[in-house]
Amino acid sequence: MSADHTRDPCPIVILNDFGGAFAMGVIGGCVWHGIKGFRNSPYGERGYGAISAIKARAPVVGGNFGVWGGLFSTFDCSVKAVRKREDAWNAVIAGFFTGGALAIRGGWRHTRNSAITCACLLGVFEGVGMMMSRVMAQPQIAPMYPEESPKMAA
Amino acid sequence: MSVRSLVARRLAQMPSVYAVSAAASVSRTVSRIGPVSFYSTNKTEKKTEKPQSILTDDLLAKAGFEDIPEKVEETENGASGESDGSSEQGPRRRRKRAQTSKDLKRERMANYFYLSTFAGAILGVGYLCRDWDSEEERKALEAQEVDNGYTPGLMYARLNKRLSSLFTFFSEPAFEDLLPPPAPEAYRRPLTLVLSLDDLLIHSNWDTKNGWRTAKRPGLDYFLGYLSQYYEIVIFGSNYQMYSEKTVLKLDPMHAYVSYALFREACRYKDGKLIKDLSLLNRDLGKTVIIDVEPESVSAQPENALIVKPWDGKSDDYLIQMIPFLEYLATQPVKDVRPILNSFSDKSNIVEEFAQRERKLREQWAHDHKRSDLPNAGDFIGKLLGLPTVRKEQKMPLDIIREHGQFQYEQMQKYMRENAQIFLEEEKKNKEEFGKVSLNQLLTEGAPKPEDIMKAQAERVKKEQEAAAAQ
Repeated sequence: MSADHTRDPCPIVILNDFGGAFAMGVIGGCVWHGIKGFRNSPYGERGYGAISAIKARAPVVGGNFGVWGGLFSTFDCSVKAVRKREDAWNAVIAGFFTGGALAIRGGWRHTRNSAITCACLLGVFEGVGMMMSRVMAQPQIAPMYPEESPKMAA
Repeated sequence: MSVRSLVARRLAQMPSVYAVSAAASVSRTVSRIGPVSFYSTNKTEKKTEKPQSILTDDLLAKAGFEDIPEKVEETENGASGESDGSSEQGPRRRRKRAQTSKDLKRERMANYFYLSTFAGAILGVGYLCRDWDSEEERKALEAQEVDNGYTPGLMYARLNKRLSSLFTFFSEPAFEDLLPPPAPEAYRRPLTLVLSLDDLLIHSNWDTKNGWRTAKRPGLDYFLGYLSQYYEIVIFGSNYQMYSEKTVLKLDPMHAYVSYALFREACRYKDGKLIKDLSLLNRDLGKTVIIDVEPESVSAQPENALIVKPWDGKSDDYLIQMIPFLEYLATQPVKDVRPILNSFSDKSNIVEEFAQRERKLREQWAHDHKRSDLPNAGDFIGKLLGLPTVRKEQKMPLDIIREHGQFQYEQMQKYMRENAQIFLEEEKKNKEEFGKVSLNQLLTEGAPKPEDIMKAQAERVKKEQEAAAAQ
């Protein structure tokens, strides 16, 4: 069974990831487009400008994030199912397909470039994660064995 | 009524100049979608007066528009057809867009990027082909047969070794020696027992109602508690420390049974398989037994391994069933456990086979020590006096060992029960003392090393002892 008990097992985790990414995008989009709308509005209309920018654009950002997260998770699960292994290459391969799938309407060149970029990015993430887990891994230490002191023996 | 038609109606009410340019822009934006239907009253006027954009082709190109609207092109084509200037080119659907300065800049940057990537790759490969920096490097990469020198073959060999070492960094165990050296003689247990975690001791299950749940295998506490007097128990899980550490702590909250716990960081990852290499354990391989559920994870030392069926979470008593054999193994004066383990024809069925052997042994023992049923004097006098006759049979060594083991186990349990509070408090104190590490410290000095913690603890114990002695 899967190692990480903070995440659900495979088919269901796609839904989780989609929702999580959507929420993240919406929150981030609110901040981003809130500030942008505020700055781009005339004095006196700034609050209203911020809110209308958020209303218009934050759901779009959320949707974009959600699509990315859901697609990535789908590919991740598929790759796991096909390779029957759990290692860092799963994420890299899934990133490759995600980047490619999202750019496929931009033509062959764009698809290729964005697939490679996405795979590289995911590779870096995974590499850093593995490095961290190796660095954080604590070696086993021997417990203290109370020595038989001469005082005790006496 | 659609939005588009609403816009169109709005436009019709606007002053004419704005209306024309705005209508053009609207028609430009919607022209991709399909034919536009304006619900306006005077259609004839619309037909005769085509919307003219004030934005000419060149203006749009300079502004960096990707797509020049088709409508404009069509009119242009029509115009050129009228003038017969470029009829030899035939009807062109698309005119190549004039390159703007932005396009040129982008192209140039892309070329720089490709060039630098290529150059970097060449340089990197060349650097990896270099001579060995030192003998240590050569030894570390196990490349004794690859000499220095710049022939293509040697260069390629060095490149290959160095490249693969980049990737094996992640697949090799994180530590050289997985365990500290064996305990001093007085504290040493005869053998080391390495147990896998998932599906041997615990089982994790997921369902939609409860999410993840982890179950302890029946008899686990007794198994660990009883065998910890004969074995140095090491749990060797195949998940990351991050995920399994807490589980191990739950299995043995007082740190009484499990001597060490190793995780995936200590495994070798090769060809999609996790291998638990016992030769790195820092223990005598002749005195190490590993129980695992995956044959491939012990493929480095299959002769040390007992492969059992993975536990599926249903109630069973397999752990208890395994105790007699493991107890027997540890209480016999063996130099090397491997021949004994391999003397079983089917190692996955070692419980049954050992039970058979034990039964045979018992029969033999009963046969050898059969006491005559003849009435003896003691019994006779006892009967006369009305006392119950005590017929004590001589005990088999196996039973003596077991009784002794159980007695010890009970003593240990009693001791633990009485001192549980003290142990837990001490643990808490330690955690408070060493768990508080500020982020600044963590970044500048790194996490506190276990050795330092041990040293500090030893110092504290010494101080306490001195204080006690002074009193």
